[in-house]
Amino acid sequence: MRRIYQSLKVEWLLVKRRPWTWLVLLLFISATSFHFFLRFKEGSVGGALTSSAFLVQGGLFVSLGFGYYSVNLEKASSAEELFGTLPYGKQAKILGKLSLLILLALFAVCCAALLYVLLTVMFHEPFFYFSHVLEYFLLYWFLPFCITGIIGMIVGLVTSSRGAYLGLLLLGILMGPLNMALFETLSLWLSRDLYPVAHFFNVGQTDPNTPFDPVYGYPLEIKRYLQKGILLLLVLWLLFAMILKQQRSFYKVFGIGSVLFGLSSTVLISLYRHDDQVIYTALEQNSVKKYDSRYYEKHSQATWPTTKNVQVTSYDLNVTAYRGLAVSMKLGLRATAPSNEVVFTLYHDLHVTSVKTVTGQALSFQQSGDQLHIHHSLKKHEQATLLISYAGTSSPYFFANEQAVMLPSYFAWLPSIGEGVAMKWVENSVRPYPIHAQQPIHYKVRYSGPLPLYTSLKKQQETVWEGTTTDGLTLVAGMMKERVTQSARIVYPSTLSKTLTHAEDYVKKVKRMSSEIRKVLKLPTKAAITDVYFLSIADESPHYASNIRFTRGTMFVGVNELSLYVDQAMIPAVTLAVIRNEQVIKQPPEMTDLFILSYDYWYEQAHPAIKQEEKPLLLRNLDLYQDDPEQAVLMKRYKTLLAFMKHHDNRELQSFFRAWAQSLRSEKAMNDQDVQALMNREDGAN
Amino acid sequence: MSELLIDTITKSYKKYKALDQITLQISPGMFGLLGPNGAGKTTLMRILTTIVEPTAGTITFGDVTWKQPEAVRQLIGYLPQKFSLYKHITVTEVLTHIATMKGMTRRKEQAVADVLEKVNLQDHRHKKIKELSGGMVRRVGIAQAILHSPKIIVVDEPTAGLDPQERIRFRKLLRQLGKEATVIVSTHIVEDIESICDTLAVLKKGHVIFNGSLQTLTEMAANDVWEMEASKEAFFDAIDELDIISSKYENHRYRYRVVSTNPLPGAKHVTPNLEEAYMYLMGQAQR
Repeated sequence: MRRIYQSLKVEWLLVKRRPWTWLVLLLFISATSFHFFLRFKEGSVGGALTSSAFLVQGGLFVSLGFGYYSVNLEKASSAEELFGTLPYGKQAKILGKLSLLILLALFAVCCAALLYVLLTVMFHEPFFYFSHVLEYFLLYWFLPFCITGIIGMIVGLVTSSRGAYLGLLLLGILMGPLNMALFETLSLWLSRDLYPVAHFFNVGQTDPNTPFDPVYGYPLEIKRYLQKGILLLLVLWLLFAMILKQQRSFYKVFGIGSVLFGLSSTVLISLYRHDDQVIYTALEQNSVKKYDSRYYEKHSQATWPTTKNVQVTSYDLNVTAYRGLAVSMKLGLRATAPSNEVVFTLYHDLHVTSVKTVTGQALSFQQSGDQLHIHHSLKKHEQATLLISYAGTSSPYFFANEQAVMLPSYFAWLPSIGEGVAMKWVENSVRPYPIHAQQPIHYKVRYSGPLPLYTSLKKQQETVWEGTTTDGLTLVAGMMKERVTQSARIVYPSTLSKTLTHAEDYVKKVKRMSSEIRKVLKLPTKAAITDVYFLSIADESPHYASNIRFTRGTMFVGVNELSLYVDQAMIPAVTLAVIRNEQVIKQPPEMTDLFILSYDYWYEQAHPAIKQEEKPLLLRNLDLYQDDPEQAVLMKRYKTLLAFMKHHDNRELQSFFRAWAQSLRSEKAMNDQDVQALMNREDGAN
Repeated sequence: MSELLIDTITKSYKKYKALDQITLQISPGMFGLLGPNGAGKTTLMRILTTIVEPTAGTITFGDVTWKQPEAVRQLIGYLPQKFSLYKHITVTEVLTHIATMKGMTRRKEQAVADVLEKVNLQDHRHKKIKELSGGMVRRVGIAQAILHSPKIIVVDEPTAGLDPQERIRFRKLLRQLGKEATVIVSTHIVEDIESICDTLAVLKKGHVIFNGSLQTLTEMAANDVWEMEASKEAFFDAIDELDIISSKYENHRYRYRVVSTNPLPGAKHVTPNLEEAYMYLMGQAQR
């Protein structure tokens, strides 16, 4: 140890006395400060780290170079032979260099963390998620710098030729965020999804453009630690094998070491291969944007007809969120008519392992797409309890793992009597059907997973929640907080404490606007909103804000770190939230979109008090696409509607929109003629 | 004091034998290892310093065998030919570092001060390596080699690149070390061996072609070294025909020394020096 320590001291002296060291440090601190400062200034505290891929990439190149340089230092000074003749000389030198590499990586990370702390204080940002920040620095800065530094050392031990620099450059690209660009091209070229390979070798951020998800937090899943663990083990073993090579007892030690390495890497690889939920945000097939979209593009139909004569009365659940979602439950049923089967809607990646009666009798079941078909006979008014167990990965949009849980009630994470398909594919995005039941259901949840957990149920014990609700069951856990206001209980991401200071106002505005729209469209009055969840749920339309969703007494608002709550953008989101039912989702999307944009236009005209930061969406789209031949049909629709709206007063238009909304909410699929007919009817009435 | 016994050492690189059954018995004192490039000197030095493992044969020094490299490394002090070490640290820092690396725990500072005094570098101890002259760096090299008072000191091409003054000073230093240790000097500069060694081995193409004292080597060539004198033209004519070892230009004539097994007309016998004896030996080995 003394030799290693002495070696470390000398290595430090050498590094310290090199002007390059201070120049690189200065560059690193300047670039990090500049980047963090800009992000903090624009309010993206979480994004300050997730968008630091270029800093990490730079750090990886520096680490590779440093590792290479450090082991070649003796070659350059002709001291390599000398240390080879000292007792354990080379080994002590290499271990000293390795120690210095680790310390320098730690120093760099500490500098960056300190900058982060300073800016947090400066910008009065909350500190409570700082452990996640440190974890992020460990996983995406410290470990990658160490791994690439060791790789640099290995390259230096193998060769000191000039070609090594090219090798280091390529390795730096392969092992950093830059490899995404490389593998993206290769994937396109070879028509194969090579992103998993890219992810495995990339020790930095997997997506340099990752926006910070305020609910999910930083991507710190176990799988990412395992990936780094495997790579670290591999490079350490290679390094030690090269050091051991200097010893006469090489083969003996190498043999024992290989066995240990083989065993530990096998364990890590098998854990790594475990099917678990990792949120990927790049363009790979299993990314948030692509996974469900690709699936529902091909799976739009249910296999079995929806059960209509069975109701769920209760769920008694054991929910575990760790590397994925595992649920076991006692599910209470009541038949309203005789039935031989029960068909539930359940997200397709949640795999049912057993279905039993309370007496322990196994029931046969099948899963197809988002449906679970159970063969079980029920007489009219008969009540039954089924024991169902399932596990798997939830949708990337609605995650559940050791890091965070975001399972809103309208998503099919619980077996529910419903549509048979959890989402509808629309223009490379998806729109979840409202799956949850409308009648009161009793829920009891025993939960194991990330804390704190937020749900509308009452907390009975430390990990048990219970209650009866008509809103379905929403579970949210992770970096979340709650605030009880006069109007509702608001659950929101901790990172948005500062930006969501006006959340209560926002909720009031949405409530007021939704009530107004309901009145105009003569839709049934809604129960009072008691729970509001600000979550990272995705917009359902690429054309307008569609980040609001209602269940009976709950409101879900999609937010991101940079959300701006402009009143103008609220109109389409609230309008869609108000009219949305399963039929609206089933309608051709262009019909729904046309309604939303037209209503938005009219609403803005009818409410001049609303601050118009931009033109209404309909006019903006018209400006944008009026010369685009591919959008000619759409532009014609816009122009017809605009002309129609200009020639009718508010009362007539309210009547028109009311009829249109009712058509959208009915089973018949709408088309242009139907809209025209509605306009004609209004024209005829006048 | 123990002797270093090298017993039938062979080192092969695939089909090429760099050393072929080398056997040497080296007593304490100054021992020279002489030979042309490619003779196997460096390979033997690398084996002696445990950098390279021999293909066959054994080496022992008292109870220590070269099969225990870590034990051998405690015995050996080594000065490689291209010694320079890290340019950005001071003489004392380098020596303290190497002392620790050699496993010295106690009296490290004192040992460093002692060797600095021995190599006459006390006044330069706070200078960085890059600020020293070539001769001083060699002296730092020898200082690090003797830090732990090794029983065997291996020195590779000790005076290569040094100016005459430094060369003489360095030879003197090596001589002093020979009093207390076995010092093996590998060189192709015959003058180094002649100035400081008591015994030597001459290697050629992986074989020992001579092993003994300097006197024995010179005696071997006693009858085959001649001195001649010739005009400038005759001297240049003779260059291609004779093994001329040295020449001196005096009073418009050349006086030169030649190695030849046959008597030469007009030549007179002279007592050979080591260089002439070495050339004689090389010539004999070629036959």
